[in-house]
Amino acid sequence: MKELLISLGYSEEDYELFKNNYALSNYKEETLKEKIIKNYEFLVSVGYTKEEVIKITKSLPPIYSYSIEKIKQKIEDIIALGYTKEEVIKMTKSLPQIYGYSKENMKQKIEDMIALGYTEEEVIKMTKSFTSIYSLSKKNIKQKIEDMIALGYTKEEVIKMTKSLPTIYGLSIENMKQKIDFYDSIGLHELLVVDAKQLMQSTVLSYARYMFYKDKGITIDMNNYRKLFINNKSFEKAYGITKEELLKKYDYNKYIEKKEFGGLK
Amino acid sequence: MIELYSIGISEETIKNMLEVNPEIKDLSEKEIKEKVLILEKFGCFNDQIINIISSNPTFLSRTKGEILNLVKTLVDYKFRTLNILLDSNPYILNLDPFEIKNYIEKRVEQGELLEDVIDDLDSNPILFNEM
Repeated sequence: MKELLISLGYSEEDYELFKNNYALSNYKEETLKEKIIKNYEFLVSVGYTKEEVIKITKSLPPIYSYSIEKIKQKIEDIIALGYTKEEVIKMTKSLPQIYGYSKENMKQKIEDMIALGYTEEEVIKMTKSFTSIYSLSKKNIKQKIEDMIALGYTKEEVIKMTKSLPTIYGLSIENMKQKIDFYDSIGLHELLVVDAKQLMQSTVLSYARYMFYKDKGITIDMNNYRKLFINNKSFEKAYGITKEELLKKYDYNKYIEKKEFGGLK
Repeated sequence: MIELYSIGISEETIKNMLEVNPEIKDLSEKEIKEKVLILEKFGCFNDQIINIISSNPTFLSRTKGEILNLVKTLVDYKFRTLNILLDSNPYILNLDPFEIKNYIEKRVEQGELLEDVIDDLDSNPILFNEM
């Protein structure tokens, strides 16, 4: 079995993963080898590259215990929810565990999201972008909304920002609080509502740029906040300072220590 | 999971992490600590480590080899300040080298300069989610 897996592109380390998997352990070696070859070839025929098949099966070894018909049906079930085949391929690469979710579970998740305030089209769009929503419980998602409300946003604003950046549902509240606290402290509370995608920049870098502009006498507000998020190359060209130099000069850790004694100066 | 508490992740967040990645409960303290040390090695400080691990608990199930291979790919492409990159988009740590290479090579084949693609990814880490 080890030789087969290695010939397919797996490593020796990967062999241990499959050897110890409960779902695969019930099969006789010859039967399992046949299933692996069949399913591997089928997944390639469906549209995955060999490397993608390896990645998916390492994340979800029991997929090698599924029948081809079951995998085909799963793909069709997900398409029936509102996705194209290409989107299903992409989503399952991002979250292979979807192959283990029932059609009913996925439908229920869509219904749960609609009940929270999204349209069906919005849910489909969000899950294409952040498929992991399917792995989150209703309780988890509701809690995230409540946490964001506690940080000063209305429910409508939370719905709006998560439509723009569904990844928010994956970011921990510690992570969100760090960002929101910072942007609040510089008067950019509305940033997340107006341009949620900017959340995907480290607070460490945002802080350094903010302080750089402050030293230059440039006030950042909701009219010019994009200055905090321009490309590194453009920033360096415009101001003659590399990202590394900037981060060294404006140390976020020192800011955190100062914050404990009462805000930015 | 004592290590997760000790770096400052709340109980509620750990529950959410277990929901996303139930395997965490079977990881030893040594395995979790190993991932924390890897992030420290890339220059991540505590707040960033909390952000990365709590937002992407799947990362804890990756092997050291997988993570180091991924980081080597990023370094080979001249991504600098990995702590900033990973803090910006913790989900980068779920990628495999081939996904990054394929994405970058596709854009270069379409006519972009390699350094411009790298700058775009470094400046807009959300783009890694397209891989």
